[in-house]
Amino acid sequence: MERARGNSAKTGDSLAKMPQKIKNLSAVFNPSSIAVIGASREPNKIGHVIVKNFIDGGFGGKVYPINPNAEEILGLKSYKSVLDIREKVDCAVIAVPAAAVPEVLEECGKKGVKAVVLITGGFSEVGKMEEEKRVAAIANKYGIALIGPNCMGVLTPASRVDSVFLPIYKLGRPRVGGISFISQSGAVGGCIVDLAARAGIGMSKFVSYGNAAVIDECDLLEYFASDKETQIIVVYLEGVRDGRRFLEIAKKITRKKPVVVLKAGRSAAGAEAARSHTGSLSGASEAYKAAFRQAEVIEAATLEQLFDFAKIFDQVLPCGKRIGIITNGGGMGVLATDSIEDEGLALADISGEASQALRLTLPPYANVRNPLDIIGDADSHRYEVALNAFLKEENVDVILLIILFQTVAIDSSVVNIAIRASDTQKKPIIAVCTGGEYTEMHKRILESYGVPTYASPSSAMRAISRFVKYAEHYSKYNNTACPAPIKKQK
Amino acid sequence: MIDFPLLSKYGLIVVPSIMAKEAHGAIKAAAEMGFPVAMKIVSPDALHKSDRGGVILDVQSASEAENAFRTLMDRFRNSKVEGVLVQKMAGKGAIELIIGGKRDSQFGQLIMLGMGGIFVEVYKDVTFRVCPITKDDALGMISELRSSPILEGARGRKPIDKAALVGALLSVSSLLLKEDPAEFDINPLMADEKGCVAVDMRMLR
Repeated sequence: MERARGNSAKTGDSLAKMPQKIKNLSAVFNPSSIAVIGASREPNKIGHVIVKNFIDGGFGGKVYPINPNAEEILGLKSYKSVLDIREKVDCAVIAVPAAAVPEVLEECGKKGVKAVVLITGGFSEVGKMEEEKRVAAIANKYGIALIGPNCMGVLTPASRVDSVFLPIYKLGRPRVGGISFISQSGAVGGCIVDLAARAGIGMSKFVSYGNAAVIDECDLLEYFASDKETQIIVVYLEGVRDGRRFLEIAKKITRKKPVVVLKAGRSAAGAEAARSHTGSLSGASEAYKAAFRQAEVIEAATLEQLFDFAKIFDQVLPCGKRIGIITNGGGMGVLATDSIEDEGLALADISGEASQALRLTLPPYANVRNPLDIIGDADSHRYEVALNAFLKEENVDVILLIILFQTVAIDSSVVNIAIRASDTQKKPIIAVCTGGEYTEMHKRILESYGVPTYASPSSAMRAISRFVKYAEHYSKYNNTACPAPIKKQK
Repeated sequence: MIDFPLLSKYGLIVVPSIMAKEAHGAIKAAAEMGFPVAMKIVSPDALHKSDRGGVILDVQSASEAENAFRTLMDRFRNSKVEGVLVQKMAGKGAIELIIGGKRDSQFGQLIMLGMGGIFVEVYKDVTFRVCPITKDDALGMISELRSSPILEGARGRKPIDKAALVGALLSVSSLLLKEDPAEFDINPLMADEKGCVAVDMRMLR
């Protein structure tokens, strides 16, 4: 189902006003031709895996392997230099030894390559500052959008761009979605992408930006702010280069798109403690926290929360914080109610219209109140009745749908009911499914249709509280009818 | 040492304070501003003046003021002493707050609001923002403190003058940006229903 488009695309800063290197990022994510410099015939070499991933992933553009000693790699004609290619090359992925990088990068510049993903390590991360400066200078001379060095690559699931040098069978690739994920760490980024793929969470782009010699986190934020396919920006950060610029850019973006950040390295900052009260009460992490708050950036404390918080934005934004709970297990309803209080949310009053409708249709032994326990013998139909009543009830802003798949009466059709209710886009629907393999299977289906699922009421409610708070912020800057769709789903 | 002209320049209200070099000067100052007063030793050697008995609170009369002056001078007879600062005591119900600042290598000046008092390091009830702050940021800081209900008037107290506290935060924000100190504290800032008054401060350039 085509979702209404948020006004994010229209209000985004146009790319035209941005510096050349940021404009050229579109060649990183959506190139029509790509050169792999350092392509290899050896199956266990990075330069081999990258070419293979482009081919196996179904990349629609041209792929040019570059290797001075090969005629052919994986069935593709190989070139000695990027300068030997007659057609234009939008993007080059470089995986040659560090010493050879300046030369091949210079050739990319001469060829008119707009973007480079520099996988090669051995620069500032091992103290080779001058070498990195030299690489940056070459890229800047030609206006090349250079990602890296020392990075893990880039993914664009929609156009099958895949320069991540890890084999597809080892690291799953996520479906197409609205989340663009920026990671300072390649390792953390890779694990998260793998987990997202397994959980059925969709992604628009993934970029591991490594040492950020040319393109840094702020450049990527600016690019994603104006990128139509990006509805949610997720960032794994260890530090920013320019705190003030980050704050200013983030402030602007969060008026249009949610930004979820995990800032690592919180404790190391404690060492900075100084003599005065203010000094001893603050560390660098306080500065980040303060900046995130001011920019309305959603801060995640753990890797799990990073995507717990991000994926909820697949749903329409809520109009308020009143939660209606539907459950086939009484205890889960109680846990959810506790979490509502912990997170500063409110339990919706359903004593009006909804309860009348429900009394007529639910079995007489069902207690019609919120949380609404539709009893352990509930089947899909009973879920449908409850969902319809809550969708109509104006006191309910967010529906928490607890489905325990372990019961006899529940089958897979409840998933369709939930997805259909979500597709009405009347209210956000958040699912809680706790359980093993059978449950996980259904969670994946729900996720892949944009219904966020959580393993516990508390983790769901934590995400909902961020969602509700962001919705308030968003509505201040966007004149949209309530609930506002932030996301355009393809 | 409190820099009155600096704080006043940014619109902060400073507690009435007069420096006395001699006992009769202290008595005169106290009588002028009205009892009770606080008397504090002013010495470049006495950083932690309260730990060394350099602060006498709740001085009620001229004779108490005279005694206090002599006691302070006696306690610090081996230190370099500039005089005794006589300050009007804040009202009984006033709450001790801290407004601080700090230069951060990434974000520049940060402003802090926290509950003051002797347990400040235990409770660590503080919140930060990057300068400059807006009125909404200031209101956000106040409501974020765990002790916020106390400021709002818990247990029959009168709520503090929130507009005055917002004003003080905005003033400190502009002070921090202009002066760019390494560290800065107004501690305590006494807040009650009538307003916010800076009682002491320190600044590290």
